[in-house]
Amino acid sequence: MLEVYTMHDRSRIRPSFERLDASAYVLVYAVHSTSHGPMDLDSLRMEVKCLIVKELNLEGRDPSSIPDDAPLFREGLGLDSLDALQLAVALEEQMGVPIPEGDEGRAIFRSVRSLSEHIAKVRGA
Amino acid sequence: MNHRVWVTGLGLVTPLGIGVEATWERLVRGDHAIAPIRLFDTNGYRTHLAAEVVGVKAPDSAEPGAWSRTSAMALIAAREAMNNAAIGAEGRRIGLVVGGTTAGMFENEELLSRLHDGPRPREIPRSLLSHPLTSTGDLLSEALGPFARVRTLSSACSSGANALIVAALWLEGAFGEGGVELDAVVAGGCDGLCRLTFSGFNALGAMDPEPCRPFDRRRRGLSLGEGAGFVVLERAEVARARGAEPLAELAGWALGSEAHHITNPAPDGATISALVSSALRRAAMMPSDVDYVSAHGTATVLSDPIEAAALTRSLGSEIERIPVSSSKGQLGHTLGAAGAIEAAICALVVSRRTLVPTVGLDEPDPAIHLVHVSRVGQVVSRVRAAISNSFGFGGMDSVLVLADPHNGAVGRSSRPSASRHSSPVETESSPCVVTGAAVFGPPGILGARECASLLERAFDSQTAVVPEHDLDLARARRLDRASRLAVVAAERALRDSGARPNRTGVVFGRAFGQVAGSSAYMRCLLGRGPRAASPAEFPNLAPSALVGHLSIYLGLEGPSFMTADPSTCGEAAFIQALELVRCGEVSSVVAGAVDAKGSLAEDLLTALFVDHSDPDGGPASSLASAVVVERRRDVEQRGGSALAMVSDWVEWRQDGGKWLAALGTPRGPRTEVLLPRANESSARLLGDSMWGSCPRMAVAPILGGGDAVGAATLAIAVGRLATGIVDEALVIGSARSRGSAIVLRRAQSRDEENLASSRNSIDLRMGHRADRNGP
Repeated sequence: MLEVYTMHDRSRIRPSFERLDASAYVLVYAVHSTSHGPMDLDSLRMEVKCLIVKELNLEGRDPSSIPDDAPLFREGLGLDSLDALQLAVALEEQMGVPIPEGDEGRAIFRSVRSLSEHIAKVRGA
Repeated sequence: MNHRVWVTGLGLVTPLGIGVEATWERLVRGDHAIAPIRLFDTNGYRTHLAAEVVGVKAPDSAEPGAWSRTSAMALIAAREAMNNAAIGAEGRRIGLVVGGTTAGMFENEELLSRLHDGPRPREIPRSLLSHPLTSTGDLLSEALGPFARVRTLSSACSSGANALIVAALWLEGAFGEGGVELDAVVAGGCDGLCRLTFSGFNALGAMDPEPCRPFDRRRRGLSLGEGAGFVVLERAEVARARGAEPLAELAGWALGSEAHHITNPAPDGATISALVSSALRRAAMMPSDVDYVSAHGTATVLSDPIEAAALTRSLGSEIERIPVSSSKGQLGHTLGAAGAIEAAICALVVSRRTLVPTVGLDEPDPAIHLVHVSRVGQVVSRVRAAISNSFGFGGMDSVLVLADPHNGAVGRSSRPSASRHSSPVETESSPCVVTGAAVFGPPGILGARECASLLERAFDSQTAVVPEHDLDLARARRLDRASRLAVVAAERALRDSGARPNRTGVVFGRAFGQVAGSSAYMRCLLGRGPRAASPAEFPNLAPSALVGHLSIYLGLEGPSFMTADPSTCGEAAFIQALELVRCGEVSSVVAGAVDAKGSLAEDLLTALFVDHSDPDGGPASSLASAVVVERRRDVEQRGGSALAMVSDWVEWRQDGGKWLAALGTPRGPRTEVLLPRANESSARLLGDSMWGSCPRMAVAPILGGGDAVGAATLAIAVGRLATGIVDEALVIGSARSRGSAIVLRRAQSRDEENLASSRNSIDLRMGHRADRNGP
């Protein structure tokens, strides 16, 4: 796994995501994001899934098994308001992406896809 | 009739003033104390406001580091309550129950942050003396004692209310079977503001940037406060005999758990409404007897309407008549103190017939249908009874009924007929039995019978203990390690027991609470600022998070709270469970303790507080143990079977010798003494007693001397009785200036017991309970 941390070739990093556990991912991201520009949306979605698994202690859950479009809260992944707060702190602290409160935040938190789009938008801005 | 509990003294330290009169005058005037915080920097927070207490300090004679602001406030309030009741501890048997959540957190926050990843200090920092929740009870004992019994408990924001309930149970004659009764109990709650709670509620988005507005349509959350509230509770006949006048009667109470979520209230409010009904039933009152409700009313968006709806359900159409208010708009939410402060306010409302307004409420939420108290200084013709609601994180809810003592039974409505919830007041007493026991640690997961031979069998104490193998990880994701260990042990004990989870409570003991977690959290907060504070981690830092998680994971809806004690926390939890069950608060309780230490801060606390003469202090270990206690009659009714019978128990402060003597003598040759720790004090106690010649075994040399060793010793004793290795076991947990003794016997059927009843005085001693119901 150490090899992954030091790799600089984006095309080689991506396939290895699935073998990473969520806690290792943050390190990868730290190294990766300082050495590269914004990732493409597929990578970003995977990044968000790993963050969800790690921050919300979804132990044993394979990040890649989280569907892009399933609702994160209630019926979908079964997350609740406390998870939303935790995710918002993690997104801001670890990715530098603030999540607005209220209805706007709720729309962003609808799914992995909507969340990733928000992150991409903030980063692209 | 004989066991009515009177409130004969009150003491308050609140943000509105120091002392009952200073607080009351400003309360009824409608002042509030929510203002910019001076205690610490609030840069980066959503709000800069809280209700601070100004002008408290430690006594001049204080040992450096020993006094927290919390303890200083508690001392002033407890002393005022005792003076108010004109009662002193000298020559009397007085108990002390302290509820709280923060203790000396404020004084230790920077230290905890440094200890998280810092080097071990050469000397133990003195401020750690004020860190444990028990430090307040110890200091109050020195200043106001001696007290015959002391209990420290925590159930988040219902801690203060639960302190009063435990005190009332003690007065019900639940002080062991040794026939020892308390003259009075000083009970209350105290909590000082600190960055940990402020940043935690901030991270949860639960604080209003403006002063809080209970029941208002614009409400956006709570304002934090701090303070202490203490009351003196006495049995009416004892108080009357010494010529004391009651301020109010603690006529009813009820406590239970939502088993829903670690921070969010259950949307249906079913626990709240059931508890309000249950508390009234215990008071032998109807909703038509209630003239005031002191709501929990924290002004959070979710909680206020749930509480209002629950009040409507339990009080029916009477809710259209009964004034309801929340003092949190004036005092802020004083967390562990709130339940006791509000109980004291209810006693004042009852005795002075003046209502307390809801300050901050200008535009009532149209979705909340309550009769608000918006006018200040509203005097009413009578307040026959006042209800005080307190709800804590983890769904630990408590309801108190404070009644006009002069109204008496005459004016009360007839007892309501039995409903779905069984009456908590029972007319027939029945001995307590143990129906399940388990140990989880390096030897594996052991049920009661496997525990029997635990002391003799070989196991590798270095074996990794992995609770995850036995947990539903999706449901366990919010549980920290201690909670996970505890859940595995409790689940096993409950499974063997067959007790119904929805009629089971949970009491677990910890020495120092969630120290490692607090240390890591403070490191993050002070290093990276309030925006980095983890909202998911914060609720785990409440000392009662452990029991909250147990209740939620296992679906336990009975009373739940944690007891704190540096050395005998498992024994204290067990005795507390017995008292809850015996007084009919709940059918069964799973009691235990857990040890999952492993941080520098905990090492230092252990070095400071755990008896140095203890040869088995032992290494920190991963160990959890749990036993299930029930009344024998309930077990028989559900067709279950008992593993052991609890024949006697006693708990003491100072010298335990006379209390051990009160236990009587060993019954036969097959009696064994089991010691969690074979220390000097237990050897001395036994040397002077009839039990000294019985074979004895110590558990700490085998399982380590951590927090859970007392609970594990009880489980082993139960196992040895259940498998017939012994007929009787005495478990003595003793430490510096505190201890307890518990006698367990082989479970007998009713017939067997009748045959052997000549020496069994249990039912005789309990006979006084039969008339508890009154007319």
